[in-house]
Parts: sequence; C-alpha cells; structure tokens
Amino acid sequence: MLRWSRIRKVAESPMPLLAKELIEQSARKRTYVIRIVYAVLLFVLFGLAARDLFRESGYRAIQMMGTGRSFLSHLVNLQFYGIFLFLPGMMSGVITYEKERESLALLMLTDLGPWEILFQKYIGRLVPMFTFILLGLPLVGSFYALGGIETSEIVTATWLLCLSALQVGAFSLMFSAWCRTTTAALVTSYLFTAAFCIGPMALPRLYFSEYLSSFLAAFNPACVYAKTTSGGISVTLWSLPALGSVIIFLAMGKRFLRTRAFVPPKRRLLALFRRQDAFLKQFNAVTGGIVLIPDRSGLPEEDPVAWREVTKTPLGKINYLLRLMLLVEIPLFLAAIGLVMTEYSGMGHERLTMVIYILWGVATLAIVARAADVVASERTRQTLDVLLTTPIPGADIVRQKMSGVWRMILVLLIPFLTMFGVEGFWSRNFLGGEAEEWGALYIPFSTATMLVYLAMFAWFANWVGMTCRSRTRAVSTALVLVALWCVVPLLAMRMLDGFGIISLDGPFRWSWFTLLSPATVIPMLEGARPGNAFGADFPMWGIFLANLAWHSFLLYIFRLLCILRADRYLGRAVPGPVPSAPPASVQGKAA
Amino acid sequence: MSLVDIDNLWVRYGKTLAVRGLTFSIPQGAVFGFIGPNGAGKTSTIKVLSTLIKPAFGRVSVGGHDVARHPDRVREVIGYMPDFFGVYDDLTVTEYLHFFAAACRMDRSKRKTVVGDVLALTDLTEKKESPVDALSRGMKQRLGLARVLLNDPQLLLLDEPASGLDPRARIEIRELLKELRNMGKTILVSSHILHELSQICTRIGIIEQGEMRAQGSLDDIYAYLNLMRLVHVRILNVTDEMVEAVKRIEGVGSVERTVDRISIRVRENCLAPEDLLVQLQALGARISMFQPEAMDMETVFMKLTEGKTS
Repeated sequence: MLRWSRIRKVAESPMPLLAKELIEQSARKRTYVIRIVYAVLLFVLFGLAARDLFRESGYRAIQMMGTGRSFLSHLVNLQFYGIFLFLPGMMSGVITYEKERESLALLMLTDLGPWEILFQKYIGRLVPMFTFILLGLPLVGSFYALGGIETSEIVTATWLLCLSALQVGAFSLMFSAWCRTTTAALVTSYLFTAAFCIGPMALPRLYFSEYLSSFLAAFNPACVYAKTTSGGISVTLWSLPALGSVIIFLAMGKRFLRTRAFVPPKRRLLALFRRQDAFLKQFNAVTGGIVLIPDRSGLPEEDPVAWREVTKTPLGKINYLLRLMLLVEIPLFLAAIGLVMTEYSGMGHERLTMVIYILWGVATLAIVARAADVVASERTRQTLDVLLTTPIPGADIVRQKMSGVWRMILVLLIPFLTMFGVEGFWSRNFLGGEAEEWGALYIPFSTATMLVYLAMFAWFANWVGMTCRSRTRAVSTALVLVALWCVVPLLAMRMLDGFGIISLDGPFRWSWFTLLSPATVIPMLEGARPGNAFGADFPMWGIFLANLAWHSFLLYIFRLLCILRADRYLGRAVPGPVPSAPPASVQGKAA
Repeated sequence: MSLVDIDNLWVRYGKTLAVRGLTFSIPQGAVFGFIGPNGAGKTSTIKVLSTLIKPAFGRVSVGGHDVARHPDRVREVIGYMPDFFGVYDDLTVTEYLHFFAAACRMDRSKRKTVVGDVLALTDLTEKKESPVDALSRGMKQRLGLARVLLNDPQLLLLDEPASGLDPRARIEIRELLKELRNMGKTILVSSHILHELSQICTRIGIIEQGEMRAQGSLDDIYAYLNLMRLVHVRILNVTDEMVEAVKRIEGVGSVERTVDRISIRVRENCLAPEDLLVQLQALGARISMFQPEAMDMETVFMKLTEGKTS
C-alpha cells in the first residue's frame, strides 16, 4: 500500500523526477547517516576552530559578549569546506548512474526535456545540501544572541553559502553529464573543486600573479565572503561572476546531457599512441627497421586479468610508458626547478612543498578511486560471474586486477621522484647546515613513504570496493573512509590538546600519534629539519622508520585480507561441508 | 551414468528460501530443459552448479565432484553462460576468446587452433577482429557459447540463452544447441521459450517456488499429466458412421468434424499417432492429410505452474 501511494505521488507530481529523487532519498538510511556525520563534523570542527575564542573569554558567557561576528566567520568557513567536501560526492553520480544502468535512454523518451531532467536532478541533490547548511542555524542563533553581528551579515553569509552550493552542484552536475562513469565524474568533480574553489586561495603562494588570484577569487563565493560580509550592493555585485558561472555550467550540462548520453569509451591517449605507432612504423623503413623494444604478442599468455588491466590502458606497453614519462617529466622538472629558484626567501621551498601536497592529494584520489573500482566495475558490467566460473583462484583474480593499480603507482612515482629529487638536491646543496644533513635522508624516506602509502591506500580501497555492490558506493565509501582516516586522528589530537591532555607544542606531537593518521607524516617530511622537529630525544630517522614499518604492516594486513577472503568477497562459493538436509524448522517454514 | 546429481538442494538468500528440496539428475549426454516462471529458482540452481552460490543444504555433484567441497574441481568441467552477456568493451572477439582460453589454463600451443574452431562452430570467424561491444545481441550470445566451449567442458550451463533475441538469432542458437547435443555434450538449459526447448531437450524439469513440479522426458510428462494430443486428419470418404467409429477407438478422447478435416484428441499414453493412423486405415478411411500437432509445452507449463514465486 505504502509503495503504491508513493508511486501515485510521483506520477501525480508536476516534477516527477524530483519527487522520485526526494522520496528515494527519504527512504534511504544513508541520507540520515550522512546528515549525522555532517552535523557531528560541523560541531566538533567548530569547537576546535573557535577554541581560541573560547579560551580568551575564559569560557564565560559575559566575556563572549560582542564576539558573534568572529564565531560566525568560523562557522561559515567550515560550511564552505563542508560544501566542497560533500556536494561533489552527492551530485557527480546523478547522471552517470542513469548512464551505467542504461536508464537514461528511457528517461529521455519521456515528456521531460533535457532542462527538466537536469533541473530536477539538480534540485533533488541540492535539497539535502541545504538541509546540511541549516544544521548551523542553532549556532547562528547563539552568535546573534552574543551580539556584535548585524542581521545583514547573517543574510550575506547564508546567500553566499547557498550560492557556493549552487555553483559546486552545477559544475558537478556538468561533469556527471560529461563523464561516462561515476568514478570519472567523481574524480573530475573533486579535482575541479580543488582547483576552482580552493585554488584561488593557494595561487598567491605559488608565484602566480595576485591579479590572477583575485580574478579567480571573484568566481568563488568563499573568497567573496572573505572580502565582504556587509551585504548590500557590494555583495550583489561580487555575486554576479559566481551566478554567471552557475548558469554557464548548467547550460553546458544540458548540452552534454544530449550530446554525451550514449558516448562510447574513447581512450584518446591510447588512440594517440597507436596513431604514433603507425607513423613510427612507416618512419622506421627510412632508418632500416631498427627496433629497440620489440613489441610482444597482443594476446594474453599466462595472467589474462593482469594482461587486460595493463595492456588496455595507455600504461600498457613499455614504449607507451616511456612516452608518457617524457611527456610528464620534462615540463614537471622545469616547473620544479623554476619554483625553487624563484622562492622569495631563498632559504626554503615552500612553493615546491605546496606542489608536493597537491600531488599527494591528486595521487591519493586517483589511486583510491581506481583501486575501489577494479572489482566493482566487473560487477556492474556483469562480467564477474563468468570470470568466477573459470579455474583461476580468487586470490589470483584480485592480485591480477591490482596489477593495473600498481602500474599506476609506478607512473606516479615519476612526478614524485622529480619533486623529491629537486627538493632534496636544493636542501643539500644550497641551504646548508642542518638542511644539508636532512637533504640526504629526505629523498629515500619520502620515496619509501610514497610507495608504502599509495600501495596501502590501494589495497584498503580494493578491500572496500570488493565489499560494495555498486561502483558509486565503492568509490565514494573508499574516498570517505580514507579522508576520515587521515582527518579524524588529527582532530582527536587537536581536541586532546584543547582539553590540555596533551601538548602539541611538545615532543608528544611526534610520538605514536603520527602512526594513527597517514596525513601526519607528509607535513613532517616536508617541514622537518634536524633539531626543529623532534628535539634531541627523538631521532628523526627512527620516527620515520617506525612510521614506515607500521604502515607497511597495515599494507600487509589489507593485502592479506583481500587475498585470503577473495572468494568470499568476489561472490564465489567458499569450499566447506554443507548439511545434507535442513532442520525441521526450515522444512516447516517451507511447507 | 549421471553427470549431475542434485539431492535435496536448498538455497537460501537471507530469510528467503529460493530453492526447496530440489532433486534431479542429468545423465551424460542429455539435454535437460529447466522451465519455470520468473523467480522459480532456476538461476539459483544453475548458480549452485556453477559454484557461484553455496547450497544451504543438500548434496550437489558434477562429474562426481561435490560442488560444496571441491568447487575448484567442478570449475574445470563446466562452462557457464549467464542470462546477461556482460562485455569487456575494450576487447576484440579474438582477444576475448584468448582471454578466457588463458583463464581456463589452456595450453598456449593449442589456443589459436581451439579459438579458430569455436569461432567456426559459432559462425563468427568473419567477426574475429570486431570489438565485442559492436556485436549484435545474437552474435554476443553465440560468442558466449563459443567461450563456454573453449575448455571442452563436460557440462554446459546455459541460463536463458535465447532471451531477448530476435527470431532469426533464436533459431541460430537453437541450431547451435542441436549441434552441441549431437556432439554428445551434456547441457542444462533454462528458457522461457518452451516450444524451442521441446525441440532440443531430451529431458525437462518444471520448477515453481523452488520445488520441482514434474520431470522426465516430454512424453513422460504428457503421460503424467494425462494430456491429449490433437491430430488433424483429412479423410476423402468421411461419413457420420466413420466419425462415430473413430470415437469408439480406444484412446480417442473426442472427435470434432469441421468443413475440411476432423480433429481428433488422443490420450498420448494410450494411443500413439502412428497407431491411430493404422486404425483409421483399418476403418477404410482414404487419408489425404494426417497432421499430429506438436505437443503443447505451454499447456503443460500452465497446467503445472500457477505463476507463483518464492
């Protein structure tokens, strides 16, 4: 009865797709879990961000009077980060999910036009985001009561938050209409969020012109909020570029919805390499047919799954890898040299460090998304069952599926090694003193950390992906868990520091806490100098070795879990005895 | 000797019982048609045989190997084709078959020959360099059959091989299955297209709500259900007396006289069509047409099932 009434509601609604989206979301447990996670994160992070304000007031309400604006500013900035973090994940799968289920064609056969489909999908995912923004309302009420804050400031903050949600939602929707798979849409949306929304804040630190940064910031409501909080005509004017971008993104989304609804896989880079092959083959006649790396057979020999994972990508052949390396390596090397040589201070490598952080983010995102997808994609394409009825053991299937991910890690090693090499060389030869000593240790430790961490994330994501039914769930769950793994221990440290249980200024900072979050060691590697980081009691190499050993152990555990339980996770019958007859209770139920 | 032995098989998904005490066997070289409404438990049974689901209770063996205890040995002797053909959109037909030849651990020296043979058998030689994704649905099904034949399995498990195909593609699949039957393959095939199953199967099992309603050869099932076969006869010297005489023949249920023929319903287990012909000739009938209707599987299906699911 309930289901029928829901169907009737959808059918009678003037916006059937929106009604369906909202009814489905309200029926899902996940909607409420995410809302609770958002609320918990918002309140905890706000508590941490505003702890100095609380401390200054001695935790007495009377001392806090008139400080409403500062509190509001902390809250609004957190809400902006919440939008950047949650909305791409919520929005980027809306169209690709329909494409993967092959239901987009049915949707386009209905009376709904592309605008209506796009708009109803858009609103369907913005509604939960607006409910997230509303979660801050009780706090805003408290700040207003503290005073020192105008009503117009609250209105401005709310408007800019909504504008940011509209903008992030619009470009995530556009990527969803453009991409063929949810994984691609998710990764592209997050990369674009990082570049478009967080980029303008980081650009001035990367030797880019202040003008370029200001120009980009005008499109970002978070940056507009930093410039003006007073409201009125100035905010209206500052909002115009962002509003314009929303319209452009939606218009492009509508265009892609029609033109890329049934687009087959292109693999442009692979096609380009193959065209180059044909050209080089012709050209080779001139040079007398010299072959440096002979092309092996194009058919699988021993490990068919691994063969498909590596040869059907641009990373498949050695000569393609070499071309890719040259393509990436030369501009990257020049950029790295340029960055360290133009450093203002002449004593550090802040810009290079910034690029390394970005590289870490992109590499982790790409590896986690790919590794979580390797089994989930077979499941979605319905090719897994056939593979499972072949005699290949489950453990071998998993190992072979991961060979493509391992190849990707090795390719990522190129830019990482370039950056580490330039930074290590610079420290050793130009900075002198303690940095010289550190320069020698930096390269091996950073390289080992990169290999261990990325492999560990890959096996962790693969484990998560194997337990999920759909690609969207596999990739998004893996990304969220990795993000939580990196962030939660840091928050816990901050909280314990806030309560005075530990001190982050002392040596405690570098003790066993670094083992809990993979995100702690990378800033340590980048910022560490003998003496300033660990103090006399903590040898630098010892901490890094302990950290590497712990994360190698975790890598081993995740890999073991995937290998030993491969058959169970993949969906094969696990060998074991079966009772010959059911108990009387089961027989009774059947009767 | 039975290649497949299923004894009191139960399959459970959480609290739902999909298969309840199924028992049957498939002799070597038989083509077993598995019929039932949607949700009857056909796919679950096939998935148990293909080692994708562990039985909750019961004994299942293929080629003497227990499916629950030695699934790895069972995988060596089966070829499974699911009801949906999932594609690797980045492979060509040849690459696809070599991929599975390697997965079946086929000797490298034999692969080229075997792939060529299965392509010829399924009439896909001309498409060997085409991307799998570009094939029509019928061709994909034929490619699926080519794949399962790669390791020369003792048992072929085909789940709805003709589902969603146009008439021509269905006939092609049917002819291919007939060829496989003539090659002596043991086949378990599930289908909704009952008429086609009746043409290729040596045995039939009708399943509903996870329980076997009837099994055996088609004739056994007709006999069990006491079904009548309709025979159309055109008699040049037909008279009312002759019609009455036909009605009195033992095994004849009813006789209906129309403008150009008489339609006789006979009980299959009492009177075979060829015996009816002899009896009619004995009555002095000058016969210009004698046309027994193919036994109506749909009638059997409708009589045995109620369309319920587990």
